Amino acid sequence: MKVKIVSPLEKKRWIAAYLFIAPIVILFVIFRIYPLFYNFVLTFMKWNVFKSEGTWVGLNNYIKLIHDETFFCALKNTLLYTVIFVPVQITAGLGIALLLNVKFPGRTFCRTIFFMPYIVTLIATAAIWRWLYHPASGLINAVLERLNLPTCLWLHGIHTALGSVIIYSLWQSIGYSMIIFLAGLQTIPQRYYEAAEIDGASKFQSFTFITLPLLTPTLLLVLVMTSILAFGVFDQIYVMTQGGPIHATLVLVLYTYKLAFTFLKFSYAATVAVVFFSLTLLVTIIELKLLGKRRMTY
Amino acid sequence: MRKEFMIGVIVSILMVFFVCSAVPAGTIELWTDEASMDRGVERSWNWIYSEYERKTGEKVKVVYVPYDELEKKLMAGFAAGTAPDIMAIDRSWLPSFLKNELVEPFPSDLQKKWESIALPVFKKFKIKGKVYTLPYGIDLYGLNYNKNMFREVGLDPNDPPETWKEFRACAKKLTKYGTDGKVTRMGFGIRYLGHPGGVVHKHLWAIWSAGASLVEPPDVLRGGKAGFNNEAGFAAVDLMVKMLYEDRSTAFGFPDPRQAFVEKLGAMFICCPRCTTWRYFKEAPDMDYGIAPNPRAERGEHVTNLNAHPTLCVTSTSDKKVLAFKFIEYLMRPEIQLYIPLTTNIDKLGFGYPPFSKSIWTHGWFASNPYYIKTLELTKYARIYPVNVHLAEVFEIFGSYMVKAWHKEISVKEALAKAEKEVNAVLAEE
Repeated sequence: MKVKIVSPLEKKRWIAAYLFIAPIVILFVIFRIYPLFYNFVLTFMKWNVFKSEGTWVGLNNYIKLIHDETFFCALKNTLLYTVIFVPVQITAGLGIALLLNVKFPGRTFCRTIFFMPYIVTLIATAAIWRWLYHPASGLINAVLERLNLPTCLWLHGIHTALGSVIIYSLWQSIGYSMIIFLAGLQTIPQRYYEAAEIDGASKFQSFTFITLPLLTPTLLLVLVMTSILAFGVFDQIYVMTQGGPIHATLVLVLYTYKLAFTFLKFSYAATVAVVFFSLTLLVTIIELKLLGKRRMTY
Repeated sequence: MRKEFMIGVIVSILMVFFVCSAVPAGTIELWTDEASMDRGVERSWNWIYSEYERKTGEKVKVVYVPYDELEKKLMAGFAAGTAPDIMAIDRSWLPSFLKNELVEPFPSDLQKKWESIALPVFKKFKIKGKVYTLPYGIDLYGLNYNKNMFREVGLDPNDPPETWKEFRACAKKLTKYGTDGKVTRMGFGIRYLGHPGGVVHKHLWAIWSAGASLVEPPDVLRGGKAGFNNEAGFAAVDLMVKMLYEDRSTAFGFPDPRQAFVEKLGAMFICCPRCTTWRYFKEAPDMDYGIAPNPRAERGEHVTNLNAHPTLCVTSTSDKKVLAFKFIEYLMRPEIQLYIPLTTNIDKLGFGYPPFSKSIWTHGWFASNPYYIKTLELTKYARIYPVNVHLAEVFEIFGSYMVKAWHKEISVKEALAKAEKEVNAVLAEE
């Protein structure tokens, strides 16, 4: 049996290291891990927020969830939002990153323009877009009318509200994926492209056989982050539509918020939150499993 | 090392002392959203607080919170044990607080005083014979209409529509269309966006007038049943469907009805005059507008929502209840009762709160002011919201289905049936 002898100096270093990370770990446990478990416990109770006391109800909250039409509406909207937002965000982000990876005059300016919506306060930009989208007094419909194009109810229409929010979200966050892809593209050695060019590969072949495979880690990161962000969309919907019209843009996080802070149903909100967390975790694990296998290096 | 340690201890003790002394004894804490509304309101109330301190030596520490955040902040305060002594809330929130016994009823002598000064209509605010709040901002919904537009289309501006039939005919006549056939000016501004509860508030006049109700009986804190899945409820919801698709006298896609009215994109809408008249004065000074009772169903009566925001109540968790009620009593003084409505919205010449005290209504300024004369007329038709702990959810459910029916996503019959099922399930909860 091997016995590792730890010198007093090394021991001191370890202690110092643990002491340095201790505050953040303690805070993480208090504000992240503990609430997570407490939230789970809450799902089996009926909690009175004013009296800070609860009664045990077993699986009642979960049974109620199964019959809750509004929950399934929120789930449907969340999935729809994610399924549209994520692929478009990744494709567009990658496309723009590829274009802005090429040297041309004004490239830095263009990169800044694309990234700027991401760093400006989301609440402010969402409020501006809410005005832009207004069917009667908004700029978008005014321009469309001028060009004799059909106008739209945008955020006011049941069938157009979610799409309008997605368009805004794409505009707001495309810079984020662009920057990450750009960073990923910088890590691909130029010699691979040179070698491919010498061998007569086309641009498309270079992209397919060099860029994409070597970009897989970055792609995985963007996919996971974007999926999590899409599942947890809240701010822009809260500002722009509050989940309306008639639940057309109601998503899981907003539903959880309403249950807790409008209807004071904390236990039931905790139940929805647990389901939401589980779904997000499941999707993330699937993505990691599927794409993680396809990592490649040359 | 020992010296630094001692200094650290002394500094900590001093900090704790200063924190603890931030709210000195004899100070009551009041949470309100009033200042977020208007500078004139803030000035008026600040004067009241300073006068109270000058006369009694007792301070009122006021915390201003935006309306949308106030209920949540109060909830967090009660949960954390940091709730104020007095809260100035929207009366429709009261059932949630009553359910958890968080509001203190007025002592009997103060209640007697309240009853002696209140305009008779405000006695509807008593719950099971007890008084819990002193209302200040009183909402009474009425039909706001543009008299200039009435004249323009040949309608008598002094003869607003009485019945739904007249209302529909007026709205149709007042509507304008573009060359593409789309509505460019609504005869009636429909509220369909935003919180479903807000949509229901603006349509209760029709529901009640037709003979339906949200919850039956309306004065039970717990339990009850939905009272809208019937012929009356159908007629009330169907009224807007007919105006949207048959008459085409209203439409989606316009700004909020208040905004549309100010911008002359709508000829009529339903709202409380208190929230709107000051806007006309500022944003549409040439507006010649009228206020009338809400149109009634053919065999129904005129009905108007009576709500109060803000309404002041003492929290049951307060350890300064005596002081808190003392301040409430101060607000009932005749000079304060006169001051508030005269000076709120001071920048807009005082189209402010309708007075709570009946004696103020006979004061020359109010008795001759057309806005107040009309408001007093509206009190004849006043009806309060159900006092039910699940009221917020009932509003949300009913409002969602009603708007679905207006969008023709489902039929009115189906909307009412589904809403009834969900509302009854909610009302059956503890």
